[in-house]
Amino acid sequence: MSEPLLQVRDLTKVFNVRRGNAFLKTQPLYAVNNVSFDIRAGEVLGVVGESGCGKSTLGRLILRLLEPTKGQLLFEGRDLRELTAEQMRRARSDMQMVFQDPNGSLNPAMQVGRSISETLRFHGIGTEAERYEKALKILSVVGLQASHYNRLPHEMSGGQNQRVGIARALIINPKLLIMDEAVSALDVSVQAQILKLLEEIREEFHISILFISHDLSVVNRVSDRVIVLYLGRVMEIAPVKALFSGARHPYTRGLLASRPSIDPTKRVKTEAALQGDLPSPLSLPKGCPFVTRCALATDICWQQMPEHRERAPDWIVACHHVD
Amino acid sequence: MKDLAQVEPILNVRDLRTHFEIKRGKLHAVDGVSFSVNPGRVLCIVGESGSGKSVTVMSLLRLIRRPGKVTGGTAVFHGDDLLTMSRQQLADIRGDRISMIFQNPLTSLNPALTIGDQVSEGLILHRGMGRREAQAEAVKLLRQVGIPSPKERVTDYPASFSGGMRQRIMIAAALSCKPELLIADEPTTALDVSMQAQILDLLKELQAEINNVLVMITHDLGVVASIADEVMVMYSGKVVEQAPVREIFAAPRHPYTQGLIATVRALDDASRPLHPIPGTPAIPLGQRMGCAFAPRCGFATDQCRLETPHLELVGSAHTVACHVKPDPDRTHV
Repeated sequence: MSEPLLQVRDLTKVFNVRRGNAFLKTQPLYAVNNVSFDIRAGEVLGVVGESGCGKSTLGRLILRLLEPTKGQLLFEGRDLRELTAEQMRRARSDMQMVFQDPNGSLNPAMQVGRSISETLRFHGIGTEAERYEKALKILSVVGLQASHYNRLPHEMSGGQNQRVGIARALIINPKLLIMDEAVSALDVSVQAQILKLLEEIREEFHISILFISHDLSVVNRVSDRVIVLYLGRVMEIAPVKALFSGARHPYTRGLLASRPSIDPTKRVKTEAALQGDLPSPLSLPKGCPFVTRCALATDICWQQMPEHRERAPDWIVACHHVD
Repeated sequence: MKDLAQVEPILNVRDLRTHFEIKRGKLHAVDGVSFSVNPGRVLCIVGESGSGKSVTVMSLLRLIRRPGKVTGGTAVFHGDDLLTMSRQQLADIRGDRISMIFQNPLTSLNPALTIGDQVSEGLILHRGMGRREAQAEAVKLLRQVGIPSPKERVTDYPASFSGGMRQRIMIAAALSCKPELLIADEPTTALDVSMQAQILDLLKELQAEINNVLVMITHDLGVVASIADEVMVMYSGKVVEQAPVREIFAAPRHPYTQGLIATVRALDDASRPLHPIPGTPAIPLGQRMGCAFAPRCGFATDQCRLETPHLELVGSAHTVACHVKPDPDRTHV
């Protein structure tokens, strides 16, 4: 197997938060806690988890929009954390991001065509005429017309603006695309269109995508492999088919069992569905963060964070009670 | 089985119309919507953003403000028309016999009042309870919706609860007077999937217990499949299809419903091909001609572009507004 595009090792981000009174001491909040994984060339790696699990922070850390507290980010073997600001700026042309809110992430006063070619301008690529040509070409790739070039974001629908967001990221031919809840704000019918577009883009661009979403069905649809995060920790990493047909970690199983079935003739409540609420990320148990909601929990789970062990080829589970 | 015609519906809405006067013209947010719900039933109103589902229920409770206006129709609740009754009569009903749960549990509770005060407000206002009695009742309600140690927490403020817990508090407040009609507008959309499942179970349990009517607005067909008895699909201000839940999933007859169901099936099962509905949802602006879905519809004919289809009966309780009514076998694989 060729070298992975990005190797993330022991990535950790601690926020120091003040609770209540401004005179109190700050407390550390581990938003991302010793996370390690690879993104391989050309794969879509899904990241799922509930709110507060650290999935958005993870995306931002990789692009160094947030500075990691600890860990390594090896992009094609080079540690991104050792780059100077100028070097990082150049490295970012290989890594682009698509955000959740399609309307809010575009400049409202800039024609969408110019927003798209702005990426090239920023990185000093091509002449103005070449940039225009490229923008027109990429508009058609994402299913828009040349006539959209001169539109303003408010003259477009949410789905169209999200296509612009994708075009803007793709125009520079990045190797890695980070999509943070990129289809979550869209209606089902439009969501399906964007997912279809992603399927086409994958074939054409041979790009790696880190696809962050809380929506398990969407992740199932687009990913090759999936990382399950819970309160900043990796619970399970597995190929998508294996995960959705036979998840091993009790948290993943609970998450999957909590999804509403789309068959009204099957309304049985499954035992595995998650109960209770997330604990406060400021007072986590010493051991496994899932211990407060886990049916399998025993003493060791309270005491010790389980190791990330490969239980089957390509299948990592962090649980004391999974063989 | 009981003859359905014999049962008096709790709510009977006929030809409801609400429009908004905006700069670009008249927006027909709700354009002739009719439906009724019988006691003990759960009706889900489904549609994408801008389809008019929220405006429909807000019109019923007369929560529409300028530039919006309810311009026609009736909404009969126990023999009285909600749209024409006096403000006082309406105020007596709202929060008592009809109550509502909103989407965002973070903003629909008052941050400056304790949860006990908010849950007991309806009891004091509508049931004439004293403060102490109402607070005791609030503790009971909070326990019923699954708030841990409710006796200690009744004096806490909303800020010290998580999103899921706040939605439970909202439900406790909405159910305090045992309403005959509970309207819930996307009650689980802002919540994580594990909390969503818990809240849906709770709503089902409570609804079965007080045997009231639940009208729930959602864009999520998974939620529909797990809670609805009846389903009403809206598109661009109009009802395009209405049927019992099993029938609409097994044999949808409107191309829009068919497309939505095929899409969620493909999302649920990655081995199915994904055939998205092309185009974007229609905005019900200005003069309208023909079927609003026609520009996105693979079955559209000239008739569809010229004549507005009306709801027709295609089964004992299944209506659809479509000139073509394509065979569901095509989508139901």
